[in-house]
Amino acid sequence: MKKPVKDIASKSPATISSESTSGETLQSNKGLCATASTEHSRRNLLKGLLLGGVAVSTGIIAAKKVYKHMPSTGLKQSYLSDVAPGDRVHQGREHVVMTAREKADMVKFFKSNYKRNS
Amino acid sequence: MSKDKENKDFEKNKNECAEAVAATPIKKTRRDFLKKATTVGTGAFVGAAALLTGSDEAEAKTTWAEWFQRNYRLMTDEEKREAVERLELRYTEEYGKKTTVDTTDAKEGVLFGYALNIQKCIGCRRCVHACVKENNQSRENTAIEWIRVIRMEKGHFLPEDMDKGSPQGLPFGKKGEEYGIQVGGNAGKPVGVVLEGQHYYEPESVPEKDAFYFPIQCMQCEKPPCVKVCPVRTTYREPDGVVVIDYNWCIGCRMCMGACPYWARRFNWGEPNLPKEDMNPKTHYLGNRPRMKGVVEKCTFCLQRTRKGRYTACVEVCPVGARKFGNLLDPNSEVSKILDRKRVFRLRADLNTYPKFFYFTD
Repeated sequence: MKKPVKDIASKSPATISSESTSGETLQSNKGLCATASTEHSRRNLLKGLLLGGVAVSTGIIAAKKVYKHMPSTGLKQSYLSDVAPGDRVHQGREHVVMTAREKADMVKFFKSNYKRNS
Repeated sequence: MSKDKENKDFEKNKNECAEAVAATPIKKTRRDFLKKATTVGTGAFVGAAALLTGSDEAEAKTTWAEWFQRNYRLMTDEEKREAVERLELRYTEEYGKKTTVDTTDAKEGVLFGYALNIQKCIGCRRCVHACVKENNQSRENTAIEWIRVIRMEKGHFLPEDMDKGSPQGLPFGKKGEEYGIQVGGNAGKPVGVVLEGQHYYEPESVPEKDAFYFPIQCMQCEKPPCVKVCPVRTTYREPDGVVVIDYNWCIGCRMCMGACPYWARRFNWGEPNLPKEDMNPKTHYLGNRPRMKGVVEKCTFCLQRTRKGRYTACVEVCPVGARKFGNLLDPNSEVSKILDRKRVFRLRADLNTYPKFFYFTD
């Protein structure tokens, strides 16, 4: 299949049409179609690549611009809802003053932990 | 054969060809699908690459390089230097002022600790504002504050209620729930009650009558639960005890926020709003450099200052000297002396997180 395609592709339209008049119409039509579809697919690939690239770039730029200028309503609420539950929890906590021994043990732990990690 | 005839024949053949192609049934194969997928994929990659590399902007170059950047702890000195150069260039261009990104490591023999005199705090929130300014936190609509000062109502001591003991379960909490710090012994009215919306209180003057203030920030735990849960190990404890975040590796999963019992971590829901004129150009890679949307941030004991022998911004600005900071390994430091001599308590001591942020009273 490939060989006639290559042959026909190298011929000028005039040559092809003169051959077609000499009784080889069907054969050369088939060849032409094959040539056309080969070119078509290669062109498609390149076109796809190019269009894909352009479309994606444009899409990203547009999305970025739109997103940047979107009103940020509700954002404040999101930030607040991250901290507000903490306030409620802290209010219900009982805090116990450390004894002297607890404090000494804690400092000892800090020191030993530092030595272990360094 | 004349030229006209040749052209006509060619046209005829072309038409026949088109008809033949049109008549052929279209059969979608796996190859077609893969071809299309490859085309689109390549297109997308080329597009994205063109977007990021085609621009001369420092931001684009940094973003591109950051995709391939390793976790800060695994970076070689050379990689660190390159990352810092990229960031400095980007911030300088973006904020219009010469910006430095410091990478000073923890000092040998230093373990930072912090103590806050809850009796002295007047709730002026100067520490909050100083922290926002120093640490390049987001402003206004996307405001982030690492320090939270909660206004709490004082309890009342009533001699006639002395025999009743601590107040139980009334009137705000669940039935049977006990209340807060017993400042002043047996209180007739529960203390430590936070009313709705008092996180951002704005009184005309402070301190207010019948109120005391409870500042909360990152406790820099010795056994930090946030570090344990991080799936990408982007948050970790430094040798000087400060828990830091490599913002570039943070995936914004918020696991650390869920794990933190102190609600000390903040998530950037939106693109941070940091005005050029307010930006602090002296930054640290693991500290106050400008963050991005979708990452978590928190107090770092002002690494950019404390690792150079300075106090944190909040300690410096406190008008009543309620905040003390120092080296826990040095018995002569302020914080060590407080631990030795004052009445100290910690938040959530029951969790064994060993916070290095203490509250004390005289």
